[in-house]
Amino acid sequence: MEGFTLWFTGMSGAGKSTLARMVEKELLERGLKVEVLDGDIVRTNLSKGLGFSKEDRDENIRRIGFVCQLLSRNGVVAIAAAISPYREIRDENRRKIGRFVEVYVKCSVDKLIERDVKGLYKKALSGEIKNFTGISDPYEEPLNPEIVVDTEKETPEESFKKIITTLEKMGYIPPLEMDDYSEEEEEKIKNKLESLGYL
Amino acid sequence: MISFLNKFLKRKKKIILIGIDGVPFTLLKDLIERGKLPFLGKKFKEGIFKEIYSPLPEISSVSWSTFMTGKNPGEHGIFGFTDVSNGYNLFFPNFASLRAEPIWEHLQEKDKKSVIINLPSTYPARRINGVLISGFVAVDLNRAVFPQNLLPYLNSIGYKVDVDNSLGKKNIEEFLKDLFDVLEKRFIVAKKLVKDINWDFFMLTITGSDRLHHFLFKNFLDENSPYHEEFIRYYKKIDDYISDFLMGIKNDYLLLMMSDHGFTEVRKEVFVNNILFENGFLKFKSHENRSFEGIDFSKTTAFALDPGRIYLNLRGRFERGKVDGREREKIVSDIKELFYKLNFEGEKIIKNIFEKEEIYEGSFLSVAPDIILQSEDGFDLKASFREIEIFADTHFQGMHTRENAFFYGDSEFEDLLINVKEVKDVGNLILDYFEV
Ligand SMILES: Nc1ncnc2c1ncn2[C@@H]1O[C@H](COP(=O)(O)OP(=O)(O)OP(=O)(O)O)[C@@H](O)[C@H]1O
Ligand SMILES: [Mg+2]
Repeated sequence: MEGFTLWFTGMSGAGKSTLARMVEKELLERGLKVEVLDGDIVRTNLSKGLGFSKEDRDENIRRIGFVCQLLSRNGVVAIAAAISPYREIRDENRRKIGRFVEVYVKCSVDKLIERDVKGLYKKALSGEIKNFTGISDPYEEPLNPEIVVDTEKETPEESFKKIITTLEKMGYIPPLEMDDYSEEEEEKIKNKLESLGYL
Repeated sequence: MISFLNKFLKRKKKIILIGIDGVPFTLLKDLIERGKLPFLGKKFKEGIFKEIYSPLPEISSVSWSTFMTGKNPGEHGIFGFTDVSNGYNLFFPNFASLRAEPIWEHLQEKDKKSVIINLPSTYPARRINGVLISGFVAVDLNRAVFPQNLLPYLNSIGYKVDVDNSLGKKNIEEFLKDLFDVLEKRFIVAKKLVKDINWDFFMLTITGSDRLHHFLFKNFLDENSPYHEEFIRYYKKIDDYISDFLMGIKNDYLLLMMSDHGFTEVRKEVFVNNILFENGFLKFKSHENRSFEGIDFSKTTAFALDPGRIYLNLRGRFERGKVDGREREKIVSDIKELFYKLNFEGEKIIKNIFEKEEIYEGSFLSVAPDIILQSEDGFDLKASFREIEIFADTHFQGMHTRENAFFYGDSEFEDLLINVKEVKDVGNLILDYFEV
């Protein structure tokens, strides 16, 4: 199977890591090769030492993109879960990688403050953390992502299903129960459709 | 509210739904007024008989999938008889591609039994609490039937999934013979199963009507045409068969009837990909090979699938995507302008143009066609490459319409029925009725 990159973008606490792990588990069960690059983990090794200025954020995303590119072209499904707030650098990765599926993990700031999974929003609001995306730093929404999950309205299970079914439908992963027609059957279907003017 | 009705009206517990593919509301009304359908004429006075509309595009696979799930194509994932993968492979979505649960799978959670005969887009058949005989585009009867022990019986009476539509062009007499024969067999099976199975939801779909319309619709409109009488006779037969079928059943069911889209006379076929080609949106690798496979996707901005589904060749959505997200808006507006301006000898061709967000919602929005064209009556949109001109004459006599499908329901549950405005609502009505 050809690899591709599944790129999660969205603000902190929106659900990128949660969904990345769910998708990883599912694809592994389907016998695919998968690697997750989670922002939190990457920053402790691949991007160790980088901060949160625009330049450093871009450098971090570029590095993650580079690894995704290597993995994707070797038949691996590379899953990136990083805030990746800047559109331009996400699009740069898209251009380099080619087989690239962007998932916008959408959630309002109000809801994220309420969730505050890691207690970071509290600190950002009090000024203890500077340059915090969504509070004191910009987040640029994707203009045309392949998938949007609204985690304010959807359960993790629903968002997960949406991602998997879209990947199936777009042909990135083989559908589980898709009934593949033999060539002969396909020919018969074509004839049937043709006789009614549908092809 | 519903259980309230249930208690106080001693509600009938079951549902029979008769689907008649492609029947316009106005056609039935006309035949009833002319006294051609005595049974339905009488029946329809007892309830609500009205016009509904179908989802877009207005073709059977999309419409019946919408009915059977009560969901829009953005949620169930069926946008046509064909679809395209991100690597530009055309494929034929089937029942396994349907991404929402059909009504009967909800019903079986409540131990309710269903019998489904000849519903399009249910092939290959899968397990059901009851019986499922798949409809169009089933290729092999062996895989169109659940449970399998029904097969010998179906074969013994010569049951067929569909008429031989290739006859429609070659031999109308034979085509008509086949049409009547298939209809008869359909009711023989329905009459048997309605007795043999202890069903809660029973659905029979007649699809010959759609075929009759494709090949002979002008014969309905023109009383002097050679097959006018045969056309009317087909409907009389349907009337007779339904009357006879319902006669034998204890009256403890709610009767519903519907069609999945309307029909009208076709005047010209309109070749959407040729329009895109002539205006530079679509490029071929060579001029000798004008086909879907012959498209040069590295240079193509937009292409169409049947009937009027236009896909932008977007980066991310397609392997050799050429269009950037930021260019999308501009291209969409250019294409809209192009099609709104399109005319045939001064006559407008396109009635409505929708962007996918306007008519679909759900997980499959990202793989939905970007633009959906709805044509004026008489102009049948085609994505085929079999013509090189934009307009062509055709041996087909009828084409689908979004408007003018019909719905009927017994009047006891007017409150429920009154809300039925489109095909999707009928599916939800059934779920509501059974309280699932
Ligand atoms: N539809 C949903 N999808 C994913 N997570 C959801 C959803 N709805 C609620 N949640 C909850 O939101 C939280 C998301 O946290 P998660 O760590 O996945 O965020 P993140 O986007 O990875 O944040 P960060 O950028 O800080 O790593 C979890 O507690 C999860 O249970
Ligand atoms: Mg995370």
